Amino acid sequence: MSDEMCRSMEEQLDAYAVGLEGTQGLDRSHLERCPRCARAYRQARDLRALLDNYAREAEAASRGVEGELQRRLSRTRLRPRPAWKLLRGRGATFRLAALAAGLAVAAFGLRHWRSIESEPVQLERASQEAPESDLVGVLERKSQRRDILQYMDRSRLLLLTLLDSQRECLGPGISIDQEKTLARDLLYDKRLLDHSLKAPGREDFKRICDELEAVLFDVASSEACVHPSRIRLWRSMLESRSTLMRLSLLSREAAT
Amino acid sequence: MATAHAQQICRGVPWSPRGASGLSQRVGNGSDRMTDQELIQALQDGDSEAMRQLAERFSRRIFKYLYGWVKNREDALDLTQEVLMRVYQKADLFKGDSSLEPWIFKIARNLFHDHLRRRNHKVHSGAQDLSECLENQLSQGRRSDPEGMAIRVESAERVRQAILKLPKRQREVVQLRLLAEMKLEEIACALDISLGGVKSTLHNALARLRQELSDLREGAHV
Repeated sequence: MSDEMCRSMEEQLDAYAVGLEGTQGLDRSHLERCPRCARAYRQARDLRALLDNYAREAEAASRGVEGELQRRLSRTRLRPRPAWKLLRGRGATFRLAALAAGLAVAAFGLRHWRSIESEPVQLERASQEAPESDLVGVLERKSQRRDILQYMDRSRLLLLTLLDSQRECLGPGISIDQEKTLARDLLYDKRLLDHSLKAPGREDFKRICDELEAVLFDVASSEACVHPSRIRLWRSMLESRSTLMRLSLLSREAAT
Repeated sequence: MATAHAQQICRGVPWSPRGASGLSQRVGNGSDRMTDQELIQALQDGDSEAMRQLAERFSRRIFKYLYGWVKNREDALDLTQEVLMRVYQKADLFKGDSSLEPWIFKIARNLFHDHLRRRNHKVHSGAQDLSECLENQLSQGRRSDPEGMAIRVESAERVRQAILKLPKRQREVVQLRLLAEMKLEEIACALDISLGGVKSTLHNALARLRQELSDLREGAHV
């Protein structure tokens, strides 16, 4: 019986030494009766004091750590969790079901939208812009038209600057080094836009862009310094077809 | 009873007397504070507010646990940050078959061992940090009793050295109890051993420490 109580006391003293138990939890009457356990208690008490001191020193070192870490973490850019990761872990079944339901609703919505688009009123609106068959098509066409307008605008600005150019080269002529670079960029952009320009309803845009391209090509392939007569030639090329004026009108019309 | 208790913690089942979760009880459970379940769910959803709460709840204890090993404030801070980031990134791997706390300390333990491998050295002996530690504490305004404080710092260092001399498993149990402030059931879960195993490991560790620190024990109550 006494051995059993000593074993129990041993366990209690271990818990006491590492701060899991207070002295209230200890069997006082047994400690008074059993000298072995009383000695073990004194040793546990001393050890507890040392271990408490050790833990206190670590506690002292941890002062201000929370704030420091919050600051560090706020500076760290947390990467958003990849979408596929949301389909793992707890609640994945629910998320998967929600995703499937969302896709079904989207598919239904798209189908419904198409049927609305086929109605006369919508057709009328669509025909004002371009024949557009679906949502993706509409967005794509809008984006293409925006690109074409931006291209024309940039070309117009470049040519206006070039035609008014009064700068002088070290040699005889006018320096067009910057304009040459820009013209080269615009020629590259034009090549990317060729496919969009061939779409039905964009004949006017294509014609103007082709005229601009002819002049830009000449600019890009010129020397860095050109004779003023060369600039006069480009001006006459544009004026003979009223290219810049037509371009302004078309841009304004497209904007409205 | 105690074994059932430990199993409940490992399964993440609410248990008394600490209430819905050990952690919530420890840090208080204000209305704006997430429960463990809510926190892990929010982390799985990639919520950055959850990250803030995670740091608020665990950073100090993770830091103390790691500081006990590395004995260098900057390293311990870096490692603590790494642990929190790892918990955030791997939240979706948490299956809920254990409570959050042992899982986090498992991560901390693994990262610490990785850190040791990277550095290719053993646990810092800490001898050179003793004066640094003393200096830090003096500069923190604890100047009233510099002599007593020097004794306390030295005694803490002796205890640390004695703990580091323990076999690996005993060392882990003691550090998790003293610095991470974990209950024995949680330690069992974090180390994947039984509660009985933790108790006997702790008993052996304490016996060794008593022996190792016998010369200090007389002057323990400084």
